[in-house]
Amino acid sequence: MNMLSYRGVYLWDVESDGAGVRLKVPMGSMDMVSMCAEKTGCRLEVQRYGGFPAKAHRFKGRQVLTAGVLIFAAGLYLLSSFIWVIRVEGNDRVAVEDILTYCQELGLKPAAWKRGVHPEEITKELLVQFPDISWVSVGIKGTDVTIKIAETIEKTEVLDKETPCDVIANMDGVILKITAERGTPMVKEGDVVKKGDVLISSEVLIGLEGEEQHVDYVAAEGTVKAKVWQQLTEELPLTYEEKIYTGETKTNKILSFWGKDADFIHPSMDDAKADVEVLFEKDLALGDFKVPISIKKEQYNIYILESRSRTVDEAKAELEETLRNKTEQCLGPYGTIEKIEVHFEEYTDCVRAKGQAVLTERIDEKRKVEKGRDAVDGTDRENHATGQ
Amino acid sequence: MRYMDLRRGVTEALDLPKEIMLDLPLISLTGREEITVENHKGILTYGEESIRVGTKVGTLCIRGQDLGLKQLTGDALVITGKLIAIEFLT
Repeated sequence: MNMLSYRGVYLWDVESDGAGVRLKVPMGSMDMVSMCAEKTGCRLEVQRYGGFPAKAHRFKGRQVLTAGVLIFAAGLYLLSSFIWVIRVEGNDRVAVEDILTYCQELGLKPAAWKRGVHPEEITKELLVQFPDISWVSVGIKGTDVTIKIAETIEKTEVLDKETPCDVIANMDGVILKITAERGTPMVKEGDVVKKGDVLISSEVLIGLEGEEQHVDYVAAEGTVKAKVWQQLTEELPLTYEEKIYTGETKTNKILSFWGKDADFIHPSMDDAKADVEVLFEKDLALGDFKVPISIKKEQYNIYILESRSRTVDEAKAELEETLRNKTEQCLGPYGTIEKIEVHFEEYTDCVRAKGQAVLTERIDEKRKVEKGRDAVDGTDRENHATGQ
Repeated sequence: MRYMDLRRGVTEALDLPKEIMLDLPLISLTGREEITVENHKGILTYGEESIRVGTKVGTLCIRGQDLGLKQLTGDALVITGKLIAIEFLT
């Protein structure tokens, strides 16, 4: 052992083995070990070869396996050279789709060559493109890109009280109540108005009666409630087909490559109709490295279509319900349904409902006045001068 | 001897590392489970309860239980096991 260490042979894991010792030496030093053993009169017995050099030596004649290992390593390197996943974090007002679409234009998209992606440029471009973003960080980690965003503070809505505007009707109706906060009311309770009629005018007469008066323009404001009518029509057939689930299910496993399904083994359905339900979907990954392969398991819930029929009364009840729901959906936040009148027309195969809903709705809407404050100071005065 | 004294004097005066200048053994202990001896002159005896290592300043006897030689190179050796005593024999 001393001779070996003196000659620069590295020895490790020396264990005493009765009269002798068991030790490990590098494979390349075996000639030196044999020579030292011969010189010192020791008996040398090689118990086994181990470690990476010995394993590599074993693969010496197996070209296909070696080629496989090399191809795997090359494939792994190649696949890790692409971007596979893009995540957007920290956004609230800016939609993820908008960011991803713009990133795609800049060359950052799944399956993009990693070296072709320049995070600094994308950061700058995103800041220019989206005014709502105050800070962006584009980080590439492995095959994932994480876009971290900090948004600007939302601007508070400034209520414009300067620009002159009228309050007009946004639908036909009969006025029930008018409350003008600013401006001159042009209609009163009970008046019939058409869509587009001015309800509260921006023109305000300043000055006492009998004295010199002049017109000023303000941003009219107020609420106007009116009774409005809405026409309704709906039809329902007396016979229909209903899905009856048989309880029989079939499962299908699908492999997806780059988002495209490769459904090799599809269960035989024998022309049966079925609804598809995705049980689970998982992207495959080797540790943190995501590969563009995903596995999906679907369940087919088989059903048969059965002809059903409903009576005229049932159809009428259903239609009434549908019309009420539809009217409620159309209703504004301050609106209420006063009455729904429905007339039914019965046919051999269907029932048709025609009716009208009486609603109480807010019909006020602001519209900018063309002849505004500027016009008063400019154009109007010119016209006035021309008239004189 | 006079040469060695001079060498020692210079080493101490210039605060140079003695294990290099005077070829002294440098012994490091990790708890009582591992001992590293640098600048050794070879193993003299080897056993599970006692290992003797030659050094320039005498034979270093390491006693313990389940002693084993973890590494051995021309410059250093590492012994592991439960160490009990380390002493220099003349």
